[in-house]
Amino acid sequence: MVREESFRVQSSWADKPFCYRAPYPEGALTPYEFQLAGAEYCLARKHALIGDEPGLGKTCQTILISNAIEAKSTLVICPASLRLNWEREIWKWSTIENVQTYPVLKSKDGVHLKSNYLIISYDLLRNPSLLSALLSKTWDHLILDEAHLLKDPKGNKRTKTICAEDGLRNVVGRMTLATGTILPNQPIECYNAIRLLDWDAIDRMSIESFRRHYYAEGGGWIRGPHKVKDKKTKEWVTVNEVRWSEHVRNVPQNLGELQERLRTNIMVRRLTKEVLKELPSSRWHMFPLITNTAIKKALKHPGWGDAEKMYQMDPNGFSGAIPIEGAVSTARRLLGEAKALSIVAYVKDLMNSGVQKLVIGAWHHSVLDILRQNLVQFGLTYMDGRTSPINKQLAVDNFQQDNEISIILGQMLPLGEGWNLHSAQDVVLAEPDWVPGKNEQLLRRILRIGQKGRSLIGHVPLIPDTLEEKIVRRAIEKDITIYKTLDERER
Amino acid sequence: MPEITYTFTAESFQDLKDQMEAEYATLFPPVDDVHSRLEDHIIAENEKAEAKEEKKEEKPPRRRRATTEALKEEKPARKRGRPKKEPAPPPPAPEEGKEPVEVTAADGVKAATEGAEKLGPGMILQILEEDFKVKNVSELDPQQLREFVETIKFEMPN
Repeated sequence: MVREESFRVQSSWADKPFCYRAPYPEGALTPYEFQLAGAEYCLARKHALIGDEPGLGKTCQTILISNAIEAKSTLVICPASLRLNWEREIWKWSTIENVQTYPVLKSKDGVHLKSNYLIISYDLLRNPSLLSALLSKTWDHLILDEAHLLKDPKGNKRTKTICAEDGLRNVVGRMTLATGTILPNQPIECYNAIRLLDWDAIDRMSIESFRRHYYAEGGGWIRGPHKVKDKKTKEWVTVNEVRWSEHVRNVPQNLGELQERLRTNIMVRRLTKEVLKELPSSRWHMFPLITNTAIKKALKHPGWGDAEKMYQMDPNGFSGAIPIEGAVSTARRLLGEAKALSIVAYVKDLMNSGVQKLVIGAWHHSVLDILRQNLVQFGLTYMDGRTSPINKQLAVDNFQQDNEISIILGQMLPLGEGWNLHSAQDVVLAEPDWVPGKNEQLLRRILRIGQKGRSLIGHVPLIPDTLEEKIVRRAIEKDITIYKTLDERER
Repeated sequence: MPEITYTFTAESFQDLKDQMEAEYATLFPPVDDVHSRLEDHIIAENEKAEAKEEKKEEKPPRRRRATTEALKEEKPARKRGRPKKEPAPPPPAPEEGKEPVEVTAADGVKAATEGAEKLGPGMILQILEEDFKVKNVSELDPQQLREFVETIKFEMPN
């Protein structure tokens, strides 16, 4: 039986505002109707989460909310690489005349509490002096960009700084979270966000109750102290290692109900294909690499044996998120290095076939170095975790505006968050991630407002008939399951 | 020298007096008449002046330069031919110990959403269009916003 959607759930899908248009600066820029609808949804609630698919302009919507509530002081917390990007967006969308923005780039810069928008990274929140300064005043609006960074169910320092009773939540009038991937891997990852925004939305469940309600028991790998019988001494000893258990709550259930709770109470989320119909479709293209001697050697590393055992025991639960030993990481790095030259050859073919702009992502510095040295001839900009925020912004600007620069190469994490790289139509995942959601993030950098291409392709290099191929295929398929949790709609 | 004595009777004295006044009147015109004409003239002049003043009072007072700004503010309303708004009624006196809570756009949107959930979106749009002659909550001024929120609260069951 198809249940009728309530108005609140319908408004979480809205592509145009119902009865309120948030103010925006008069001029050449006009927000999309669905962006105004997003701001309206959030205003109707005390706190809210903008969970639109990546590329739909969440930053703009959060600033529209500040405009609507006439916020005089807004605190923006975002990944370090996006601070300058945020500043630009504020200049573009804020209705405050001569708006004062203050991005905190270094801890020694201190904070400027009288600015209209103070922009700080999650990492700098760990600085006690900066944090106490931020806690010393009341903020009209707190914006948490890429809010899936609060996902850690155990509560890391970053999460506690914001979510604790005496944390930043205590000194803000309104909170808006923005992330296109609120569930990078598992439903439990949205618990902190729900609890922060509206705990009543899940009937004030504890994290254990949440786990019991949304996960059924299944087998899986766990790490922790447990007792084993020593074969030689025949005595029970406590060891701390990864082991298999049949009583791990890891089979998601009741996902439809979770989605309804999210959409009714805190989350507005629209899909690109529904609100930006003019954007092209995107697809993954797996391309096989020829197995050369270097690749064969890398595949003989013992780490692959360990990964193979884990995968055989639990193919569905296997992902980069499970506890894995260091040997597996080494094996992945060695394989990445061995594949690098084959990927260079593939990229050269792409460029010679007429591709104008290309985004390439990889994980390991050694792999990035090989790619950088061999592709510099096409005009290349670069970023990794060590690149300063200013140089990251410069790399993106050069790639977007300079016709002489055809490739932007970077580490998956800094390159995959927040940037607008719509001048390209192709992405190459030189080292695809095993965690679902991360690969999608990189592809979404090009599937954004302003994209004029007809078809977007994510190229994934794979060595046929290997474990890596199985894992990556499954990770990309798993993306589909996650998006079903958030987006499957009964009509 | 013998003393001459004149004896006047009352009647003779009155005749003599009348005779003397008649002679005096021919020699000098009566002063009272002159006074009365002068007075008439002055009174007439005063009346004219008063009449002028009254006419001046009937005309609208000439605007001073200092009111230019006020005139500018009124101009668009005259051009569009809007009827002059009646002065807004004084705000209700706050209860003792309580300040009136400001109704924000967010309150309006929240009320509209709650109303749409319970009454249907069509009803909310109807209230906006019929009662307030607008299509968006963002077009309401603070007073109207308050009335809008109160209207929805009134319309909602429970």
